[in-house]
Amino acid sequence: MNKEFCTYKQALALKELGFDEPCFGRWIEPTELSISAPSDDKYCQKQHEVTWTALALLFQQAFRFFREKYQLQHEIVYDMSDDLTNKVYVYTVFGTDRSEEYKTYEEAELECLNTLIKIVKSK
Amino acid sequence: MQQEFISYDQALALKDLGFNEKSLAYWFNETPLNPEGQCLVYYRKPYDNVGITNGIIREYGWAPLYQQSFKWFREKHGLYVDIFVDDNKTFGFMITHFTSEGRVDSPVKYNHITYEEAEQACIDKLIEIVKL
Repeated sequence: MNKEFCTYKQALALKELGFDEPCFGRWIEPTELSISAPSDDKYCQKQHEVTWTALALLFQQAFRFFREKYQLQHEIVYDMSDDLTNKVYVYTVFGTDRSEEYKTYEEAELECLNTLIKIVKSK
Repeated sequence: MQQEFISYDQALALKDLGFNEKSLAYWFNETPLNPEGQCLVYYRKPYDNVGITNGIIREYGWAPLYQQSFKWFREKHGLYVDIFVDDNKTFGFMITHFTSEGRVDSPVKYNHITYEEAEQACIDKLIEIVKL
């Protein structure tokens, strides 16, 4: 199930940006994702106070956070490449240009989230 | 956390269509004829598959996350979803697939008040398309 969660680095960044909602687990260090039932929320939230740990949020939770807290809407679409030779995934964050092209949805999703983090950090 | 998962009816429909992947929870319904009896059960650890050992999963099915469901429609049925904000600041969705003649965008639906509403309606539409 690890692929359903944002990376450790992204989770730390989101924590910095104010993400603090119930999750299905926590990152203890870059390689250690501990998945748990949300009934363990209090424990997770407490762990969240420790600098090097972060709540392990799902991609859908991260994107909702940006929509609701920062009004940043994104789209990831499967489309023809610019040279019309392949089908590729591209993303756009509302009001910005189309991203570069990615072979997989997961790559596009990861980079889209990094872009959202960058946009908010640069404000 | 229930908002992270597709509804009970949608989960049953996906199970009928062949969805059989691990999730963080499963739907349990002690009295399947009573729709009020359904509840979402979270795994304490996703790898301790209680459901698999006692047969609950076979009987009731996983509770897929929204992101898992969309991934399944992409990978299994070649149906790609775009949920967008329209000019009226409401949400819409578009389902795309590719044929030998190129890209086909259909249907495009507008006027959902929230993103979550659009997402839910989109799952219903995807189920309807695959069932056809």
